Amino acid sequence: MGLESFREKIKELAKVALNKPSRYGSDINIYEFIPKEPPKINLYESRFSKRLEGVGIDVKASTRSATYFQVDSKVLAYKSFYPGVEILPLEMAIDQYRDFIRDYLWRAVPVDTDKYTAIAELRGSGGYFIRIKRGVKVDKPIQTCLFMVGGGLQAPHNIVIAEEGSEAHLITGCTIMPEVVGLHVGITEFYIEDRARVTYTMIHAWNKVVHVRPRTGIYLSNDSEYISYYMTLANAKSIQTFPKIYAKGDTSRAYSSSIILALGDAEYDIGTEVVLIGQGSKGEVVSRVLAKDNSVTYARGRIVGLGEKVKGHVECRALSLSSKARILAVPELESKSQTAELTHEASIGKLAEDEIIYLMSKGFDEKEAESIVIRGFMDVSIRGLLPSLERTVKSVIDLITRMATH
Amino acid sequence: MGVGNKVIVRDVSISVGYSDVVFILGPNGSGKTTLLRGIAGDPRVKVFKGSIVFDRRDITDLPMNKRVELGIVLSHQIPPKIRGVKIKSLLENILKKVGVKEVESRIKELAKLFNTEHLLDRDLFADLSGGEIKRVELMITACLNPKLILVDEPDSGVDVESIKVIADGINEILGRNPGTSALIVTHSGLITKYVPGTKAYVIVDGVITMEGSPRDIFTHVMSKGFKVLKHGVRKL
Repeated sequence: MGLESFREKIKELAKVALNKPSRYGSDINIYEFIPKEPPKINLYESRFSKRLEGVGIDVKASTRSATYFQVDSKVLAYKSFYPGVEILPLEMAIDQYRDFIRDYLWRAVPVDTDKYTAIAELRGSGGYFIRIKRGVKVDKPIQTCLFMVGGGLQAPHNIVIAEEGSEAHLITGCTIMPEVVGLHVGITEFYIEDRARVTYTMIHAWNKVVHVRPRTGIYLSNDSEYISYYMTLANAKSIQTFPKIYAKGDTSRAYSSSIILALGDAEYDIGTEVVLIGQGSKGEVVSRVLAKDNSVTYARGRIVGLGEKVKGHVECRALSLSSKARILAVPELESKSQTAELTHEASIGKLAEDEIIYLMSKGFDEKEAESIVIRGFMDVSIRGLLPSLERTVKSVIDLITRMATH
Repeated sequence: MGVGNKVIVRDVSISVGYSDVVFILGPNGSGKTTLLRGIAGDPRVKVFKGSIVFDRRDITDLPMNKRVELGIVLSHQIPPKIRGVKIKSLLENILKKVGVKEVESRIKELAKLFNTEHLLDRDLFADLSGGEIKRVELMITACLNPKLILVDEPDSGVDVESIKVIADGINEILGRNPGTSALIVTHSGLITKYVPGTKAYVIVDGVITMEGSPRDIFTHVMSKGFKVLKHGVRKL
């Protein structure tokens, strides 16, 4: 089958799925949102640049090895500063790599998963193609930025290929201008080949009228590793995401951490699934939730053990900071392998009075004491990130803590 | 003094002078911890009647953290485990708050003194032995340059070797700034062997029943127990 007929077939599958609701999260009428050409903007203007910096984006990209900017449905800029890193808009990559691109299109995320994957295929535009070439180890982050300014539907399709033995660190910042109504559906497929290693740091800061439905799939080959940190700062109206990691290769490893602050009337359904297929593969899914106001949060973590001697652990911990917030921690384990070792822990609690009073007895006022306890609660082990990204993750967690105690 | 509507400490009049080391001995449930917490300003403890005066100032209604600023610091018997809060980062926070400039070197010095160097990267009070908990708690107390330390049961749940380290820590805090005082609560009285005291009280059922020199009180309690006198303060 040629590329055109392959793409035609994909479109047919998408059309069939257009009315297929997602398994989780509130159902959104996708037809209310149409892709928009962005207004002309200057990203260096402080009202834009500050917003982007808030989600970890270096607007000048001087500290990055490659950069990609998309505003609404339009690709604004893309550039690689590193010989071993290729970055292109996906449409361009499809033209350029006709011979192999279909091996990576809608494989880690099936196009007919639900109405959101379908609409991304049929009406989405933009998205990046990143390839880290064989054996290349990139010591500066690759950044991608998906910015909504005019609103409507933003549905980019992204593909990341880390070739054999390569190593790369991606940081993605997604944000929106205040009061802009929109639906963000980012499709991201990762293909991490033998002995390659990818870290993925995502920082989201939305507004309270936007709906967010990212769809992410990750394929891990032998002895490869994927580490992700997802952090959501400002409120979206709703977010539902459940990335699926297929640890197909022997001794492949996946770690996913979601750090969630739910405020206002937000409805969040956030988690990760790891399918452990390769012999000796490992997966760990961690979530931390701070819930305030009237928010509703589902924190999911699911590990499926299929291969020999696989190990997985799910840890969902949530702190309720309001009597009206609702939290559901949903750790799930499934095994089809007698040698799989799967464990989970989940907890939901409120701020412990004795901890606050203890800290007050050491000279902190009540707010300071709460902030120390919350910061401690949010502490997740940070592993494998570049020092600059580790600092970014820590400062975002600090910011989340300040916002939670405000 | 009490918790909720329940009166726990009912008839207590004690004084701690500059440089004094005062012990309060009493059986379980006699109100020792409530008394210390009340003096420290724990919001769970209410003062129904009477007053607490520090440096001639009535602090009965002063919030806990403000009392710390005055120099009154409680060293807890069983401090809570606080996950994710590293011992070192809490020390840094406290030292910065009290205006210490050489934070790193001060932490090193304290950790050496309290034999806690290997514990600094641990979560606060998580996975520590009884003796380690006491040493870390005293180290944190020492950071605050207290004028009056309120030490709750430093000798319970620890081995003999640790008691010596804990006592050294208390003595170090007392010796660091002239005039520093201590009010130490103890069930067993063991700590009185290692920390030279100036006065001791016995509390039973929320009432002070005896007052005297630490040696006399300790000897008396060891031979006759706590319930020797229920009405009125007996001076030894």
